[in-house]
Amino acid sequence: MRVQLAGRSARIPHMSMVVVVFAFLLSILSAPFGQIAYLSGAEQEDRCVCVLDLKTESITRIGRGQRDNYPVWSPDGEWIAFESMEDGMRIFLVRADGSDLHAISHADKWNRWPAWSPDGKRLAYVGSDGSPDHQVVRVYTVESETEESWGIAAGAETPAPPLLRPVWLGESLLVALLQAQLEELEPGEAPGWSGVEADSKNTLLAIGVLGRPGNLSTGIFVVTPAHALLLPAAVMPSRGSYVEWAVEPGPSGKLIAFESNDGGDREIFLLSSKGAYNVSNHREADWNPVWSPKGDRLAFESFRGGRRGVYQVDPETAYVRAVAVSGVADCWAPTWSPDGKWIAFVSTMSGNPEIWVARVSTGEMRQLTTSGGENLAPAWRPEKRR
Amino acid sequence: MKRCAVLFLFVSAGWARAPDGTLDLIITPNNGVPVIACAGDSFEAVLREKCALRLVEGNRAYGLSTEWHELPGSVMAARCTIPLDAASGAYALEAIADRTDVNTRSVYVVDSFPDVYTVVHITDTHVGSNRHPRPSEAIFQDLLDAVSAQRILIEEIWTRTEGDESEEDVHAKDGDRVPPLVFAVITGDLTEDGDPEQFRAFVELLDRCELPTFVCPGNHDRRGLNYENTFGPLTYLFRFGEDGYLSFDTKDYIIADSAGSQDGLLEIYRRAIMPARWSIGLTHRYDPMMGMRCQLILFVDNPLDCLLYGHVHRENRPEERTVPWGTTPIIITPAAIDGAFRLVHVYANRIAPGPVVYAVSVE
Repeated sequence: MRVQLAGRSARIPHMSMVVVVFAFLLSILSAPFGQIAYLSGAEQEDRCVCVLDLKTESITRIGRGQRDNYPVWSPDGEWIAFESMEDGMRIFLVRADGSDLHAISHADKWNRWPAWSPDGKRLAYVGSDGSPDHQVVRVYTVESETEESWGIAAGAETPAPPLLRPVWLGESLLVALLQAQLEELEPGEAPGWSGVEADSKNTLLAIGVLGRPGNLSTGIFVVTPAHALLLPAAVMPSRGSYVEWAVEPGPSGKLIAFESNDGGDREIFLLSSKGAYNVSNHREADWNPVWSPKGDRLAFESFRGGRRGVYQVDPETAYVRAVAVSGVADCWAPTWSPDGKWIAFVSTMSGNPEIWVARVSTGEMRQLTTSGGENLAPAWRPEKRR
Repeated sequence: MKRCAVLFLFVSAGWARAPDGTLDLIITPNNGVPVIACAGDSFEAVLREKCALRLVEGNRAYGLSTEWHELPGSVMAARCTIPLDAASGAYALEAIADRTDVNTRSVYVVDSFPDVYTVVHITDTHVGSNRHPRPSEAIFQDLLDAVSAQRILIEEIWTRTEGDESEEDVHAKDGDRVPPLVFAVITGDLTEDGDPEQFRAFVELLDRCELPTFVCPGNHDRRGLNYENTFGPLTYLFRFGEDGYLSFDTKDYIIADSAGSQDGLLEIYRRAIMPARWSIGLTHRYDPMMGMRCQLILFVDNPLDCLLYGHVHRENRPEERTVPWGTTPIIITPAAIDGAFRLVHVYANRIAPGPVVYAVSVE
């Protein structure tokens, strides 16, 4: 339509056109962005690490296709570590563009659960000879290409317990808590902790196996180069009583999420300076806590809807909201976008496992992969720190 | 005690799958994942498209009333109700769309479910292998015949000694009195190499069994999608009376799949059979390293009452009584390719493994 503006005739778009353009711009600006690493294959034997570019929708195979598993981005988003079969299971490193693929030289045949240090200079993982009793935390320094054992002092008489799924503690309140605890120890009290120095750069958490066959359980262990010690009772009063799994320190350093069957079913707990509390609180199983980049939300899997679904919880209020839930299919393996507005996940809503993404605020879902077969274990590339 | 007047008729094993032996219209139930139910009960069938369904056995046929719903992946599920007047027996499920598909030995109609019964545990048949002088097919065939002979003998003793005061402890002249055999489980390594020809041979032999047969995959069966194309789901549950059975997949060597869909299914299925009198697990192999999530679901958070498996071609060692993670008893049966099987007796107050039976020569 034409209007008169300052003596001149001007054409103003119809409101409908404005709305269309606005909606188009909004869709571009609010679309998920970045890259997602994931596994793709017809079956477990040929799974390969791939990278999906959300802008171009191109997919690049960067793995080996030899039962690749567990892709994890380095904190700067430049590298991916993943498991792959080669004379056992080895940890491989590859750049985001697929270049420089190489294996870590291991002391053990079976190596699992790679975890990047916050500075991206080291990788922690578990090495094993295949025996359930021999599960050792190894730390690999990228620059020097050297691997060392953590969790046991040289010459120690008592072997460390089997340790699983290590994570870096980083700058965490727990480190400060531990330091305070250690300083208060009387001589001879908790002898295992004497000599331990809580060091944010050299402290891992891992799941340690407790007990004897027929009565095994787990606990959360603090692992340093020379020590592997169950969290002290003052920090975690329920230690040793339940079976913990999937410990995840939050990015803020104030909270640590973990799974436990404390209460009768599997729940998500948060460990803070005030102790541990149940944040998922439902009679159906809750699994796999995943922190948002800012640490203000926690994604997790739950069966509260009847099937496996993805939910998010506010760690302060314990308010739970559904993110990706289906009545006829499963949704799992959440990973956050760098801006915290989207969660990518796996779902069988289309019939086979594919990668989907959901907008956290509205639940709007989009299918990202359509290749058929199995598409699993998405990991959203972190933004490079400036 | 309920008596189960079960009548399992041997159904002629005409080839009813696709020409290459794979599943056609009907995915489940099939002769490796059948249904055992009473007249009037409902069961779920999974098919590739909507079609008319009937139970067929010889000259008998019963149309099934069905409620359809679509599953993800454009697969259809049919909630089928067995007619009240359906006679007990072993039926093929017939599906008629633009073509006809028949899955033999798929639906077993029983008068009732017994409180006490016996399961035949067969494992590691390795059809297609050259491990012994005798062909693997001949060994498996003879083993099924031996199972059939056991079934007849046990039923005769059970019937003859009915009413004796100590039903579980009476020793009849011909042997111990144990409950009748009701179905067989074959826990993996069905084939030697997992190729389609071996699966086809296995299915042909399977149809010699007079009992319903439930199978699960083993590490030797994991070539491509051949197992799935032959028997459908890798993980499933079934009920037998008050008891629940959860068959799950451990065919992947050393490290179980923790990224895929099985863990979620295990949790759902485990919950579904929580109210059961007994919750019994069936799988090919067990290893303490086979995936923590699986261990937590099945042996820690809600422990199964018993786990049956094979793979190791021997029976339990003295230290192998329970799963390391908890209290779930384990029953390991030696390999069928070595001529062995085992009877597992299910009572109201216990699950009792019988001794291993070496009934077949492999030379």
